[in-house]
Amino acid sequence: MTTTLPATDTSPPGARTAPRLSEKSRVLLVTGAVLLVVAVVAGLRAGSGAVLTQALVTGVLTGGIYSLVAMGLTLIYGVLHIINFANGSLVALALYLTLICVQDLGMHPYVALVVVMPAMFALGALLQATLLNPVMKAPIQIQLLITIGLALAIENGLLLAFGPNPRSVALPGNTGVQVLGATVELSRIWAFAGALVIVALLALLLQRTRVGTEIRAVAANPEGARLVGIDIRWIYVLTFGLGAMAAGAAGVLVSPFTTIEPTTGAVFNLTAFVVVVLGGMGNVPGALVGGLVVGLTEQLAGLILPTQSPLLAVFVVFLVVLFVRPRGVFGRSA
Amino acid sequence: MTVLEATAVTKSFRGLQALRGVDISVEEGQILGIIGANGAGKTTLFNCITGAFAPTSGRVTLDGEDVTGLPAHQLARRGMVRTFQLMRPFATMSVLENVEIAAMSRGARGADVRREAARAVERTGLAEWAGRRSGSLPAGMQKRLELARALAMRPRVLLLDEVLAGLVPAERAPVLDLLEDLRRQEGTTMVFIEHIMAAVRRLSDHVVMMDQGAVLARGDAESVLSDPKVVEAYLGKETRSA
Amino acid sequence: MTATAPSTRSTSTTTALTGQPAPAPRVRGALDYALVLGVLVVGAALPFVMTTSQMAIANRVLIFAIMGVGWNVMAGFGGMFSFGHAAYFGIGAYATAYTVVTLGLSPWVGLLIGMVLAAAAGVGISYLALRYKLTGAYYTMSTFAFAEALRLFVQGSEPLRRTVGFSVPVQQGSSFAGFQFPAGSPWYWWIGVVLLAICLLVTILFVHSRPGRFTLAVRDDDVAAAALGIDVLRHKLVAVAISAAITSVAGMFYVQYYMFVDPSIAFGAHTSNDAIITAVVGGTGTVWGPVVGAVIMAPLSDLVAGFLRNPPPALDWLAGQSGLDIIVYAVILILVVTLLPKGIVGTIAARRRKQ
Repeated sequence: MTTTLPATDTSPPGARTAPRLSEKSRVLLVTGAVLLVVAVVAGLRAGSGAVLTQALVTGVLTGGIYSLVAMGLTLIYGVLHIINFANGSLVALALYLTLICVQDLGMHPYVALVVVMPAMFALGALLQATLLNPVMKAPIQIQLLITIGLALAIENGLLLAFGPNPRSVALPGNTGVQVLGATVELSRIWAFAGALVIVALLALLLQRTRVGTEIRAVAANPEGARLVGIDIRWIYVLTFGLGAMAAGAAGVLVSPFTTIEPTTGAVFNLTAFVVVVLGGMGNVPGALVGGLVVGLTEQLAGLILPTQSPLLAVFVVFLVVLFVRPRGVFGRSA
Repeated sequence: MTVLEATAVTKSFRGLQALRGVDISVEEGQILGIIGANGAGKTTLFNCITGAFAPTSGRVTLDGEDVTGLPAHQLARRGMVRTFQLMRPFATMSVLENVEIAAMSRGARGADVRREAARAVERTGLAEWAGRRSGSLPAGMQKRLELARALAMRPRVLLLDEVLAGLVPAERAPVLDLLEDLRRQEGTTMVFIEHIMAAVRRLSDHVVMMDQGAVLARGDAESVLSDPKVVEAYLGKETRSA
Repeated sequence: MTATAPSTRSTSTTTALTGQPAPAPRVRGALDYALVLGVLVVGAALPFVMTTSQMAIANRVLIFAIMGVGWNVMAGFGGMFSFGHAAYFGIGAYATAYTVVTLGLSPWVGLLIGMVLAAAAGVGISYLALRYKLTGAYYTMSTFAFAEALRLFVQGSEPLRRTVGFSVPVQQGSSFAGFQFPAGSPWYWWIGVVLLAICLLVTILFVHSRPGRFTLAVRDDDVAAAALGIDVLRHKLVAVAISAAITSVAGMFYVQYYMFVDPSIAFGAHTSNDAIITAVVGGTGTVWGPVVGAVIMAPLSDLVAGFLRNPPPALDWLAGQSGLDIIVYAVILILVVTLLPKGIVGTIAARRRKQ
């Protein structure tokens, strides 16, 4: 939890010290306990341990994928303070790029990462450089509206180019395997592992490289960063590129088990917002925890309230967290 | 009688002690000046008194009534009116409309709104700027607008936060004259934070010097300004005391 | 100039200040009232000069305009940038559908129920958001999430017919009480124009009323407003209530005109977008911006569809494809936001002020 990007924190230095760590672990404990109680209730409702195990394993794996999708969103928010409404559409775009790579170029789906990630980085960087950089000083709504416009343009561009029919990408050798007594597709396990690798790589980049330090400096204090000679516009471009690249990686990794439609992005947007707020906006590892919580909530709610959409429970959790701990359950305590 | 009294007011932000038990009081028709270096807690004291936030502990009374922790808008309606160090105009409105808001809030209705607002605008020397959009006014004029809005509220006690800062010397005199008029003609009670010592000498009946969240010295202007502690802690470093 | 809420009246004030007796205050927003009258006159005449298919587009303009006018009260005048106005549109639509289909009552009863429910929901959620001081991105998220949560709730709710939605049963003949007329009847348009005019009047009255002017002060600077004795929370909630109620009117009109609603139409993110974009393109915080925005944005999909029926040879491949209309819509949004951040009416008003 060391790579927290200082988001909108304006607290005087030195005001918070030791109590933070204990508070964070306390919050983690409470969250864990709540999830445990919910799991027990869900297990009782389901009446079968096997069903519960399946839900838990599926929840964790799906949660990892949610974190992956949310990674780019939280990175961009942490540095640029923009809620990127186009994040989901970027994932959808990456899905279609993967589709082209696999169907037309005959690549293995995961090899498509080599093509899709750089392409998405370039697109993200281009969008930031041309559309968003000129309005970085404008009120937040202006940037939001531009990303909404981008989302609409990308989504409907895909509709125009590929039509509304659902597509899919097949992963060779994708079979169900047994994990802790639950059956899951191999592709979901790979996607989960991929999510962990990407979080680790992002954390390394932010913590251990010069450019990562510069990104963190801009996130903490753009004016200060400018004064020490950092080109903040370039950092913005780079960060948006990285965020789009993370969305691209997510698109490739989820492609084997996702129905590919132009509107797929909107579905991803919702959960990604929740994950980001739960994890603390701008908190990269927080997004990982947030994703797991959302994944588990969704699965367990499905057991407890089988008639309601599992997403509704996620949104209720979301609204409660927004109001009670707007800086995120695992974000910085405001 | 005592109009405004703050007793043992403390305020801490996440363990940071901004005010450590401050007492001030001001009698009807008198003017209290508050001086001190930046970060001494002067504006925090104003914020606690005027309800921008509640004090951590302590008591604030207005005309003998306990008003501690009341929200800002309720205090303002009771006549506790302040201006801001950093100007806060209603930027999309004209100067006159800004002041009309204050007059309406005070309770003026119908044609009185315009009349009272126009009077406050005129008194603060803003008459020829009345139709200008307040967001595009020069800083000095925005400062006067702060004052005009406060006047239209018909304050029981007026708290002025560096009302002269940002004004060129030629602009200061009319503002000082206005404040003196207010006291003489309307008997307005005032508390003002100021870095310009000439103004402090000219206006204050009493002066409180704050340092690191506490009162370091109090008394009449001359005795405070010549107090060795004050000179050492504040005036010695102060370059704006001209 | 009259289109912007806080009008500047430089000439009359200076005379008031130079000692002459103040001139009798003229009616605030007189031009705005005159323009509403103009809308009614033009609206009355339109069905006589336009074809039935053009009137279908005009009716969509009405829905966009009412939504935009509603959103604008909260965002433009109240300063709370909502990304979830589909919530209020949807509440209006579902209240009407439920009242008509399930309860068998008049849609006008549904309209009232919808307005009250929408205002109550808006005040409730905004009270929480303001109470917990959600600002910036977090406020945006809360409005967005509220609409989404409502959509998911309706999708899972049996009495609200889940994802199937409601179809309003067709009656024979015309009925004002039932707000139903034969297909292509101009009465939908005429009633819609009156509803829009009422919403505009409410907006204009609000902007010039005491609570309205206090709300504008709160929008411009809430700290300064509080210091002048204005109850910030109360005025924000008043703006929210009016905004939500107006937006729900659009939902009611939608249900009666298209005779169908489902959760994604009512509560989908695209509905929130339509409300926002209409007002933003026309000019946020101006009385007439949403109307201008609706006239520009609402006919887009039909214009593009018409264009694609006979595309120039170079664009032949586009024939029969969908999506281009929204792309054009998105491009206009991005261009307006980047080049004219005050919107069309807002930019014109600013130009005139400078002269």
